[in-house]
Amino acid sequence: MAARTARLIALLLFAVAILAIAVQTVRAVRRLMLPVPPLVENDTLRVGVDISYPPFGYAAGGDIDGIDVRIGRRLAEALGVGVQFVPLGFDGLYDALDTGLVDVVLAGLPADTGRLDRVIYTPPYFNAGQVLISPVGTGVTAMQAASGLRLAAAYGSEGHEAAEDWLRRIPPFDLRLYADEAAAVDAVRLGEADAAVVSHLAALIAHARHPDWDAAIREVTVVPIAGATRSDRARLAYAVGDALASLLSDGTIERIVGAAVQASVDAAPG
Amino acid sequence: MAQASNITRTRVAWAARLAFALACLALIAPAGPRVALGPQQTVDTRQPKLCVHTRLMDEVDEWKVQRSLQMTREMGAGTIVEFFPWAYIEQAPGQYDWSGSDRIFRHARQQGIRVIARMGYVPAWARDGAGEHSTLNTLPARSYADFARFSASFAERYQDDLSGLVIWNEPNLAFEWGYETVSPEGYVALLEAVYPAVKAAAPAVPVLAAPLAPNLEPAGSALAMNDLDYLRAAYDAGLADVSDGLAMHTYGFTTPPDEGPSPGRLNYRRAELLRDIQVAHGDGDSPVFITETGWNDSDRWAYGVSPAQRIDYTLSALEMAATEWSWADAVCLWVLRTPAPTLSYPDLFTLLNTEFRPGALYNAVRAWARGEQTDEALWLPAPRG
Repeated sequence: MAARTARLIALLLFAVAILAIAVQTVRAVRRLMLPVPPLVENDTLRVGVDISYPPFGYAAGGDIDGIDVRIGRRLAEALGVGVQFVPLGFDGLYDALDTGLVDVVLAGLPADTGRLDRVIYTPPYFNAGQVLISPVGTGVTAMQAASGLRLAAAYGSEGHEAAEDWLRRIPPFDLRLYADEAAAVDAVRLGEADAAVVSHLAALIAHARHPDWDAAIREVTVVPIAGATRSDRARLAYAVGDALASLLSDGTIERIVGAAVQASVDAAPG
Repeated sequence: MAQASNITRTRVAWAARLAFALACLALIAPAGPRVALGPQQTVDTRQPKLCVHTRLMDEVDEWKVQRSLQMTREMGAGTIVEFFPWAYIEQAPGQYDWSGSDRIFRHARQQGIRVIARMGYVPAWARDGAGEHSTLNTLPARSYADFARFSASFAERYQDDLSGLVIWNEPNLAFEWGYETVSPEGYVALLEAVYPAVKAAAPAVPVLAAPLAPNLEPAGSALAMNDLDYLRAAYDAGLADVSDGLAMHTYGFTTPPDEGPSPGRLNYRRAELLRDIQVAHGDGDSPVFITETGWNDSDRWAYGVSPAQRIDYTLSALEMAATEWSWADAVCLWVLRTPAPTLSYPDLFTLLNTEFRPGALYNAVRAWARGEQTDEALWLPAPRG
């Protein structure tokens, strides 16, 4: 009697399982048969940019230009859609994604791991961290080699802080503080210091201003700059990410960064 | 029967052993960090209007709240502006978690510091049905009464320490208004709900109309409404009847503080144009609290100045407000410190970095506020080729 009851229960459970599988299969097939929605509305990729932050974004003679603007154009081209740029302030970048005002944000934006529940970041396309810049051939290839040397940094900057951290870790060096990063790099260029710890951008801008100066740049810290899309638009996020990865691997991003930095230097007053 | 009894006794014994082991583990777990309040402090300052904006509700560690307020006092600032997100405190209707705000007020009181509280950020339950992609700044009109009730509860709880209650922030910006169409009339409607509720709960707490973001957006812009136009329209909609004063934001951007004001220019003295509008609408007796001001010394931001200019301009601006702006009750620098860096140009507004290292401006403001002389050169002169 007990065995017969057990068999009946097992048969019933098996029937329920088969029914559930059948229903889910029908639903899945129906979903697959639906037309694929477009990646973006009106075949236009809306890109949120910050045009107050050269060389990532800036106003240029009635138009806008910058690293992010140039990357945005190439991404739209890769996706086969048009592009529309939406200038935004820093405080409103993520809200613009949340409300659907823009499809993707490219705004010199440091990736924030605290936001991964709501955004998907692209592969990072620039390191905005601190670098060590020194004349080629001086042998200052890393912070560990700074002992006994003259190291320049901007007062109160991230580079200043990084240098003070290293002072606690290696035999001392002469930390020379200047009013801003440009002065710190000039100190190296003009022989007042052996190396400087400045932001990657400051180093690139110095290169663009003084192309004849042969200097080496080495990473000290990493701050990844990436694009961001809303996490519930995974298809778009992956399409944008794949397109960006392709631009990174073929050297396009590096060329864009170099050209945009030079253009912003050429456009700067004085 | 005997076997069942033995099994039960065994189970009880094991349960007792497990409970004992858990109790032992709990006793040897490290105690939480304790922060002692210390003796009552007073602010030593020659500048009673000096104020600074803090961001303490996002701090996890109490010692950082205490340290921030201690360094505020040491700088000579007797008042802070702090943002108290509604979404942090009333996570379900009528259920309040005051622990974060309580500890800020506790430490502010002990440091001898008054608080101007800025209210905002809408909890999810109050945005229900506002659309799948509402933001923390989306406040549907049907939730105005809930926000009013919260603001009144807040004002009542902290009325002994509050110098003002700022209702919302920069509502003339679309993103601060939940990316809805900016509406001065809509903002006044919000105040019509909030003002009577707060006054009933805490009559002595001034209700301050929200500061506006200085901007030159053209009429009809989807991003923002010109601050001067917004304030006029708000007064026309009845702002003076539902507020006890104005909060203001006025930034220097790339110009020195003494550059003359003009409707087509964004500079420090734009505050005087807002003041003129206030007076023209018969509200000149109401106080003004400048809840954000300052300069940024990022050398890449389009609106940044050099570090030396930042110090010079900021001190001159504070002096101007102290001696020439009798209508300004407080001038609050943006921002003392942020709990986490943005790793971008907004970090160059701070006076302290995230490790509490004071920047050159903090030291300069401290010396000015306390009447101290400082001749120490903080950096080397620019290299010469």
